[in-house]
Amino acid sequence: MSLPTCTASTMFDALWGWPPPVLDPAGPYADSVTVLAWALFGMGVIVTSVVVAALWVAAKGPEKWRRRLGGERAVWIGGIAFPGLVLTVLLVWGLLLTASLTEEISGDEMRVRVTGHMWWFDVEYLDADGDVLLRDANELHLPVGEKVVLELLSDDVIHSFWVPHLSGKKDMVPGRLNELLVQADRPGRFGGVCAEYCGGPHALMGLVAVAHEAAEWEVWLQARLEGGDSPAALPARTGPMPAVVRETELPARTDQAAAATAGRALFMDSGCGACHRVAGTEANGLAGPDLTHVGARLTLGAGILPNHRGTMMGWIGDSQSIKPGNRMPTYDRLSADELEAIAIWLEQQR
Amino acid sequence: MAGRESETCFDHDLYKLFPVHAPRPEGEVEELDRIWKAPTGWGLLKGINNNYIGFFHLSTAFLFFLLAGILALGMRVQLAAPLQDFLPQETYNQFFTMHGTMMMFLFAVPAVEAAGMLLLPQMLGARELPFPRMAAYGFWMFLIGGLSFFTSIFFSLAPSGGWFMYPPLTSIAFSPEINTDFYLLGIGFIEISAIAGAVEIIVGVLRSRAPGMTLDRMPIFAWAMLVFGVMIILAFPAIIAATSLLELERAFNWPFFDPTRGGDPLLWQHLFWFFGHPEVYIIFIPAAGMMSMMVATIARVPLVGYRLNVVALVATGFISFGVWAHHMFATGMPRVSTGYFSAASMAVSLPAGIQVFCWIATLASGKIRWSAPALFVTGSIVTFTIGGLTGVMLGMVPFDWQAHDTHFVVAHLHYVLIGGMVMPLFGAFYYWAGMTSKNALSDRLGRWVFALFFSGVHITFLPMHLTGFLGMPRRVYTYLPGRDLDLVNLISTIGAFVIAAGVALFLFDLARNFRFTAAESAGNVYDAGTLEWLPAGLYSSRSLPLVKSRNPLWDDPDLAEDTQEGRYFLPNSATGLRETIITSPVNAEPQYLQIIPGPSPFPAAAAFLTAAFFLSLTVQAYGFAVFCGVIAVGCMLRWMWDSDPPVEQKTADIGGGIMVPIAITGPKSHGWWGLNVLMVVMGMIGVMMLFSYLYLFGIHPDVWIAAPPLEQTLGILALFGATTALAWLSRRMLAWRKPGIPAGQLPWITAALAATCSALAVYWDWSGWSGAGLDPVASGQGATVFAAVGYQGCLTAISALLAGYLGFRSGRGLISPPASVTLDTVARFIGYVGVQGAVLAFVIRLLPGG
Amino acid sequence: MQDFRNHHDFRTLSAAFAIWAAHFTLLWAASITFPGEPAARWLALAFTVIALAALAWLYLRAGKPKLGSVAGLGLAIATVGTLYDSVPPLIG
Repeated sequence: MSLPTCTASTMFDALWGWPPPVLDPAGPYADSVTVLAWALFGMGVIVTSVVVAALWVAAKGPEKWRRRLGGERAVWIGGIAFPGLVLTVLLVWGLLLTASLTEEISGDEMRVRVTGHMWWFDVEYLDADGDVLLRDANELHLPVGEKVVLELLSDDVIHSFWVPHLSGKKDMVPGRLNELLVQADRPGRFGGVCAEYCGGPHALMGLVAVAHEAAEWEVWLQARLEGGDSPAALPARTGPMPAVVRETELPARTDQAAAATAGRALFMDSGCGACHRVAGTEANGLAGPDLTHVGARLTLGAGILPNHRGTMMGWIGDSQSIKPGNRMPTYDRLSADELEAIAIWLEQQR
Repeated sequence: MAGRESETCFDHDLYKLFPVHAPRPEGEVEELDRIWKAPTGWGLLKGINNNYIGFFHLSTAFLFFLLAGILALGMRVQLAAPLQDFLPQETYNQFFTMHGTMMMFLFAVPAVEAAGMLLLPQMLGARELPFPRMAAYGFWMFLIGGLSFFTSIFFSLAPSGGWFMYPPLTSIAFSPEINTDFYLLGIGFIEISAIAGAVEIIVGVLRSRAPGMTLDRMPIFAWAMLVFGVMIILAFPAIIAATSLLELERAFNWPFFDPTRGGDPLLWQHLFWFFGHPEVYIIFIPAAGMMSMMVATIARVPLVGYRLNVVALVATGFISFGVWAHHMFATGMPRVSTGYFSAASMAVSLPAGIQVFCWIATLASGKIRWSAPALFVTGSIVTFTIGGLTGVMLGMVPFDWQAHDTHFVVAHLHYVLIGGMVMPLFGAFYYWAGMTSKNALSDRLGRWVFALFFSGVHITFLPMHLTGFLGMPRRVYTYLPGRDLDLVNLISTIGAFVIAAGVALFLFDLARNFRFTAAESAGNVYDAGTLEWLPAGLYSSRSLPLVKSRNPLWDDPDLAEDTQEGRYFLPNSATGLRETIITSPVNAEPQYLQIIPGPSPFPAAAAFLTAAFFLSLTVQAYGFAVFCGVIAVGCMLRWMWDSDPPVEQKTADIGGGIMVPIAITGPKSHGWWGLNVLMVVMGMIGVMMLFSYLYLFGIHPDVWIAAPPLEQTLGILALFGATTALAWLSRRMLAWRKPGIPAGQLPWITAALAATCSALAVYWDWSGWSGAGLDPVASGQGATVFAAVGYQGCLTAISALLAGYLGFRSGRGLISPPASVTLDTVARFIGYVGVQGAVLAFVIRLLPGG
Repeated sequence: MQDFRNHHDFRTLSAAFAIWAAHFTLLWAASITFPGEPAARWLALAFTVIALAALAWLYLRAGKPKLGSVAGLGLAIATVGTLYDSVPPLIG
């Protein structure tokens, strides 16, 4: 597989890896489960030790201890009373915790609709009326400290939404609407994946959740809304960029704008618009990820590649060797220059 | 034991006659040898004795363990480092699907079932279990079905939807190739083999124990196999129903699982896991039975807490049916629902704790003699405990939401299944090899096998808990670099090869020492106390002992010699045929002598043709499928033909002058019990059909249309009522006739009329719904209604076939008053079909619709 | 522990778990029929009362078996299972 080498790059560092995300919660819906996980780990170690010690006594222990262990009394204490007590405590704890994690949704929360597709996530930010405010893909942005309701849907097979730093997972089942509460209490980038086997390249279906401080969130949202509403502002937008959005080191080329124009034409002529939507252009396909803000995304290919010009060119040219089986055809008929032109134009879609 | 304790009015004082010291005539052993002689060469295809069919069954299951293990090694190489190219994506997906499917369906269940069939006859002190031909049929079908299923992977035709096969991924829209059909049909009919074995085991354990072996004296392994059998007949119908529905959806576009037409993907998950979770306990319980047998021998003391253990087995059997949806916590079930499954998941741990502590207490109360089985037993206790604890963790909903579908679960299930089943099985191989081999296996090599296997398992799977916490989902063919997943995965891969080394060493030991035999076995090398260690031939021990305790060999040092010299029950062949004593279910008092059918080519032929039937369906060769199906049915009827032979001799001396009847009919007969078990299976399939219908109504009541008018429903119910009444009448007719006079044609004609009534009812039901505008393709209601009616139609077709078979036997004068096993079976079957048809039709027409 | 002296120990054991199974099934059916509604909880509690009464009746009918007997331990585990199932409607 010709996935470009991305060693522990700056970007992925924050997404995945040590410490284990399940034990490194970033919000209340993951927090309490981490406490539970540690408690369960402790219980596991203790019970395993008790069993191993009992086996040791049975095998090598002094006669007196073995006699004590070798009767039905030991079974009543070790096999019935003790587990019964532990299990009852765990049951009550588990149920109370479940109830607190799925507390009533008031209806005032920010809502984001995430739809699973083979093999990417469609992300739609909803306004108070439930209308789509903003479309994006494979990336979930949310303000720190605010409760967010995710409406989980699927367009084809069963997927499962899982960002372990933020909460447990929930399945995206065709024909059903599942709701998941998430909240981030610290800013950062948190990796997520599809956790339910969905065929083919299920292994390469991921996403990134980005938590912004409140002020930064406003900036981000405004920038996005403007970008979506006024595509005419393209290609070269100036002005302040939200700090969290990755600064792309654009090569110093005088014909940047010309390349972008050519790239735009190539994009339309190659039929990309049949599957992809870019707001404000004639590209309005809905089968693939919305590319209106693709230039601002952290990753490509549903959370698997860092987003820069090189990976964008590689993805457009030969996504099949990067993510075999995905629904995007290869474009090996495009030359390197053409690919770069398209990539330049897409980079500007922020 | 006083006479009032008797279950069957059998006089317990007669037990005092044994051992009988009068000398036996010469030549009885030779006669037994002759009667029970196994066919050789190609004749083995006709062989039906559980002593070697059970062994073949177990060997085949072990072969699939090796093959599925090789697939696992391939997967571990692929995952040894990120972004490897060792296995392409689709191949990897087929590998993990096949690994899971084979380990569960082709190794674990058949292996424990075969171990039961191999060990039980001798352990229970029976000559043979009651339905050896069905066991042979089950084995051949398993062999052919399993091999052809496995072969699909060489043609890239293996399924790739995971062993759990969730639609819509496995529906025709997303899996248009026949790979999925290989799973649905290939596995579907291997289930039939499992059910055949379960019937054999349930009736065998309850009815063919040695006299005096009350339930309370039964070896704990037999208890485990009894619970196992009951669980199979309750759980496997769910997977049969589920695979049938999915196949119907794929073949005919009936939308059971399609939400756009009133189906629901979660219906599959409920059906699948209603089978799938008890399945885990189905695998574990027999292995736990083996553990309980082995710990007693290792410590050379009776099992501590025998009755606690029995209660634990039964409790596990029940409660494990209440945990299925803990595989579905993340699907968005109502919160209170998840609570119930969480609660049951906690409750089911209680009996597991009882068993573990029974084993530890037994080991402590005696003196452990270290050997290969002893090592496997202790290793298993540790491994299973860890797996059980992670299971408790996963039973907690909030934790499960994080850990579900990650490598944490992979670690958990391997700990449970390897600790709970594979390690006990390896221990059992060493422990029981002496029963079926000329030489015992090498205990020294066995210790090395254990060391490699045990350390390999922990090297592989202990780090996997962390792999899951690091965020690596299951069923992924690769992972990205830079996510700290490299090291843990590499360690797991190394561990997998350590396991493989252990298994390879075991194979070497087998090759060097294992020589299959039924008669000249190495014997009781571990000095155990139960009956399977009596000197034996293919007919088990020469005379069937009177059992007075749980460990008769320890308590009566002369028992081996006494049985060998024919001082107990049935020291010869009383009828000159294969036979065994059928005893009462609780107190094991002798009731009658069952004539056991001998070698026959028809079970194997029927199995080959059944396999051909299902495989041709898979490749859509419908004509050839029908052809094979018809001949297969013919073979089955031909083998049934011999199972109710006319016997001149009415009673037989089973030793000590005790006379019992031969081949009785009615509720005491083993055939009656066997049919009862089959009725449970059929009823459970019906329940699953009803469940599907009600479940979809609950999800999508909007697509429901109103049922046909009430008069029609009443008419259908009346017809089904007539079916049952006529079936009952056909049986009574025979009883009314005088003994000795042939039955005439009336009973079978009445039975055929009954089947006709059922057919008319089914037709009316079907056309009534069609007339009301219901279309199986259009809605979930249509799909489930017509599936249920179709199922009733299948049973009706079998009824008609059986009525015809009865007519054929009547024509040969083989049905004679006052009662006939064949008539009993046919009449009760048809009577059952009438009842089930009425229930299905009534409940389905009950729901309102717009 | 007592012996399986007769059919009844075995029957009590099976019947106790059959009550558990029926209770479980009814509770689950109520919870998916009325998802998220108080009706599911009230029905569950009513079923629990009935199931506990049935278990008590079985206990008396079996002649108040000792906890250590087959029937007694079976009844005890089935009762614990039933009580566990009654926790979710209360606090879940």
